[in-house]
Amino acid sequence: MRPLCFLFLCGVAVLFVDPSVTYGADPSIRVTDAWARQAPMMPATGHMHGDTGTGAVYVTLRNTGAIPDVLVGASSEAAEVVELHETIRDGEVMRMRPVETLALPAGATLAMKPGGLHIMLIHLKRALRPGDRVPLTLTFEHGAALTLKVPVR
Amino acid sequence: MVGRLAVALLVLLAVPCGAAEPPFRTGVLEPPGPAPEFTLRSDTGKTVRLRDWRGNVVLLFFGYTSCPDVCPTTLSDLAEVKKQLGPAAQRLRVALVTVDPERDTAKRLHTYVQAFDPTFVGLSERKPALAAVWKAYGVYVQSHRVSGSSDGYMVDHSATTFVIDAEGRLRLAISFGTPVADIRHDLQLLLPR
Repeated sequence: MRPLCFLFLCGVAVLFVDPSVTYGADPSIRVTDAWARQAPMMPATGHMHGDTGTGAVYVTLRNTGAIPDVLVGASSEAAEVVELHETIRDGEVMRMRPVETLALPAGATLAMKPGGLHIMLIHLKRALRPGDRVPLTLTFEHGAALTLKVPVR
Repeated sequence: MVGRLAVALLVLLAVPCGAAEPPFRTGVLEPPGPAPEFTLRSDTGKTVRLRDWRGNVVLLFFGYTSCPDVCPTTLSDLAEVKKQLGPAAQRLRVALVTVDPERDTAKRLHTYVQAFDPTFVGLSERKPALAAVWKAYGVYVQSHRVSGSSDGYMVDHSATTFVIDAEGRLRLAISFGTPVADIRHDLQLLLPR
C-alpha cells in the first residue's frame, strides 16, 4: 500500500512539474517578484574564515491555493547560512531581527522589500554581481519546495 | 536662469505673506548649524577631516559592511542619485562611517564602498574617537547577539543620511527610504553651481 501511495504521489508531483515555469513547481505558491541586492566579497576579519560577504534577497509570494501555508526556511548554494529576517523601523533607527517563519494565508500576498522582510544570505561564498542569478530554495510547511534563480541587481 | 527667476517671482506673487513652500523635500534642519567636525581614517588609509571637504556637499551615512538590507539599499540609492546628478556630482562627497569598527577594517570598507561607487569613501577610527562622532551626529548604535542567528552579531543603528552644505553647515537629515528623486532634487539646490 505504502509503495503504491508513494508512486501515486510521485505521479501527481510530475504532473505539476512544468519546465516552462521559471519559479519552481509548487502549484499554489506563486513568486511574482524576486531579486537580490548586489553584494561584494570582502576580506575576513576577526573570527571569519576567508573572504565573505552578506546579501539579501527580496521575494513576493502569493498563496493562490485554498490552504494556508507557511514559509519555514530558505537555502542557497551561494551562502553558508540563509535566514529569514525583518528590519523594523523605530523612528530613525533600523533594527534587524531573525524571524522563524512567515505565514502565507490562503489568498494572501507576502511582499519582501528593502527596509522590511528579507531573506538574508550569511557568509556568502561568492560575490553577487548585477546580472548574476542566485539559486534559492524556499521551503514551506505544506507545499513543495520552490527553487528559484534570483536575478541580482 | 530666466525660467528659474520667473518661477521664483511667481512663488513670491502667489504667497505674498512669506509663507512660501519650503524648497526642500527631505528633512530640513532649521536653523542650519555648523556640522560637527571630525577626523577619521579613510578606507585607503588617509586622514579625513570634515573641513577638508569644504566647498563640497557631503553626505554622511552611518552603517556597516555586514549589513545586508538597510546599508546597501541606502548606498545603492545614493549611487543612483549621484549618477542622475551627472557633472554636478563632482562637488559631492559620499561617506560611509562605520558603526562596526571591530569588523570593518579599512580593506573591508574599501571593497564594500567600491561596489557601489568608486568615489564613495569608507571612514573608521578607534572606537572612542568613532563613538564621539556617532554622538555628535546623534547616531544610535547598539550591537547585539541574536539567538537563532548565525551572523555573530548585528548592529541596530540610525539609518539617517546627513547632508552638509559647501559651507560646512548641517542642512538635511534624510530618512531611510526617501525616494531617489527627492534626494536628487534637494542636492541640486545645495550643490555649488
